[in-house]
Amino acid sequence: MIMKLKVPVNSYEAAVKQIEAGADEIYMGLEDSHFNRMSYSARAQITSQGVHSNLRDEEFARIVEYAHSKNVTVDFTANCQHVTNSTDDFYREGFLEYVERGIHLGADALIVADIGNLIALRKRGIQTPIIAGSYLSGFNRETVDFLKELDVFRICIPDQVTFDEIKAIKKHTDLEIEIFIGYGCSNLAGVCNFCHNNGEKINVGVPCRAKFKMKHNKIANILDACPDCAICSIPKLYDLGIDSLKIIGRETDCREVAEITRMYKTAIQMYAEAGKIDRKEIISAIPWWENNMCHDRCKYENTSLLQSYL
Amino acid sequence: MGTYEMRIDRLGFDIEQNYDTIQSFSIGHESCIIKFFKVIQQTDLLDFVRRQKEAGREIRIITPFVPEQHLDEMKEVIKSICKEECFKDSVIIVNDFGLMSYIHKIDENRKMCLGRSLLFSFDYAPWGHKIYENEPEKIQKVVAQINFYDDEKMEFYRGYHVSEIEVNLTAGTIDSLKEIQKAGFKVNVHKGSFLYGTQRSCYIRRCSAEQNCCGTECEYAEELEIEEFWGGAGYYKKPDDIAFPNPLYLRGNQIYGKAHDIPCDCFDGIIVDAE
Ligand SMILES: [Zn+2]
Ligand SMILES: [Zn+2]
Ligand SMILES: [Zn+2]
Repeated sequence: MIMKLKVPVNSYEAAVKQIEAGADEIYMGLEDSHFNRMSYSARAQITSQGVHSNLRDEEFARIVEYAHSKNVTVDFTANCQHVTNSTDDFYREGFLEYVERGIHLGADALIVADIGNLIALRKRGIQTPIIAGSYLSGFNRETVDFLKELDVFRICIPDQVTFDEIKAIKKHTDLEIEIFIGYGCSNLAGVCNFCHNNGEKINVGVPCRAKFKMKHNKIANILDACPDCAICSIPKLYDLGIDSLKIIGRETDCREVAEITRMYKTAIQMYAEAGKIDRKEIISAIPWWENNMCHDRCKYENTSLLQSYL
Repeated sequence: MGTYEMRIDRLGFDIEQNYDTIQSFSIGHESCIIKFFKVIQQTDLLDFVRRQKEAGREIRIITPFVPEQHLDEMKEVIKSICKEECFKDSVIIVNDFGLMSYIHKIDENRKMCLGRSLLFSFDYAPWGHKIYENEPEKIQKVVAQINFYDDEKMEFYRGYHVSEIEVNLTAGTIDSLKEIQKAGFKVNVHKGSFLYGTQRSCYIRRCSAEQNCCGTECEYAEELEIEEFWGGAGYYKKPDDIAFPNPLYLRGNQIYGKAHDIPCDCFDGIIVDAE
């Protein structure tokens, strides 16, 4: 089975571009009338930069129809992690209705990132397959087994894991494994309170990349610790049988992400057909990749950053 | 009135000191597995534990998230802790779902406490209020709460013998914390720090290749002051309307600030750092 490429979508146009670029799976969320700016999908309906991260019903349905006509799977982002009790339980009820709406509009699977929601969805009788989102912190085999008991069919392993760790998990479980390629948060999934793109109008950028003044007036982006590139690791990820590679970016102009999708697709296809990749040729598709994203910032290679992992 | 819990998560804490104002100790580490192994395996630790227990103090174990590469070793260490007579009635504070599940498998009646890494509220963001201020009032009230306040979750965690939680304290989460207490859970609040993030590597290790650290070097907290934010288009000055924790501290693999100045007497435990 070929390793799939899973990419974000936040408009019909983005869906067409991403699927043309080689996406096998797309993921997206819906706007919800309970909120003005926030959502049930872990991204603001509208970001501080004015990007609409989620879709209206009609456009969502059009995307599903187009995706299915191209044999592309649609995952529905129901990955908020902030569901709590509320008067009349309107908040959880709102979440369940949100999910039912996504399913009704044709979503194939759900991305869920909250234990209470996992339980509530099944209690509601919703049988749609569920992917455990990265906030559920599947860092080790025990957690993967724990999530399996909660009836998920796939685990999205968070950023900040090594290839050997992914390998140990993959060999241990019969669940599908999805991993991130590309830049993410420098902090561990679920343990970062520098929330952004959640509904605020202020622009805090990506706080873990900020510059800080340290002792002796040294200025550095000292918190920046998330690697970027997985191109160099495509062969070993493919051989390991990773089910899906996930690119993030619902909060950006997803049409721009299509360049990256195309580059990864080229690498996967080249490896599937020829048993090797021409790294330099593939990377040359994005001129700034070589110097800014690769080498020290390779995600699953033996870099000094990964050697420093606890 | 809460009891005082002192966190022992450093090497070489003063075992001879007089701890009259403290009712319990939590030993281990909240975020660093290597430091956890070192602290828990210190010589003299068991003597200290026995003496404190004789003096009527409670001993708790604090555990971090468990990277896959340390899982097998962690299981062995936890197994021996669970078997150790002087930790017989110790609550284990967990910051990893897999570890929680494992402990429940090997020691079914072991009481556990959920750590800060497994709990979330939008109110925890330094600009939390800005995230939800544009929402209808009833949404604002809900998203400021802590996500543990959820009947589905509380029932689920009871099944794992989780009877306590450990939290950052914010004004917006207080009401939900009181409801959690009413539901029968103990709520312990951090008075020493406000956790903003945990990283995969200790920054001392990350910044110098030959340093394998997690000895005492990384017990020193580096003070950080925000200089410039980073957005897609590059760096920019922090706008005046954004409150950013100042100073921010980086210690080992933890990013934290000062705890909010909120009275915490109504909670069950007050967690303080060892000097
Ligand atoms: Zn971050
Ligand atoms: Zn690379
Ligand atoms: Zn260290």
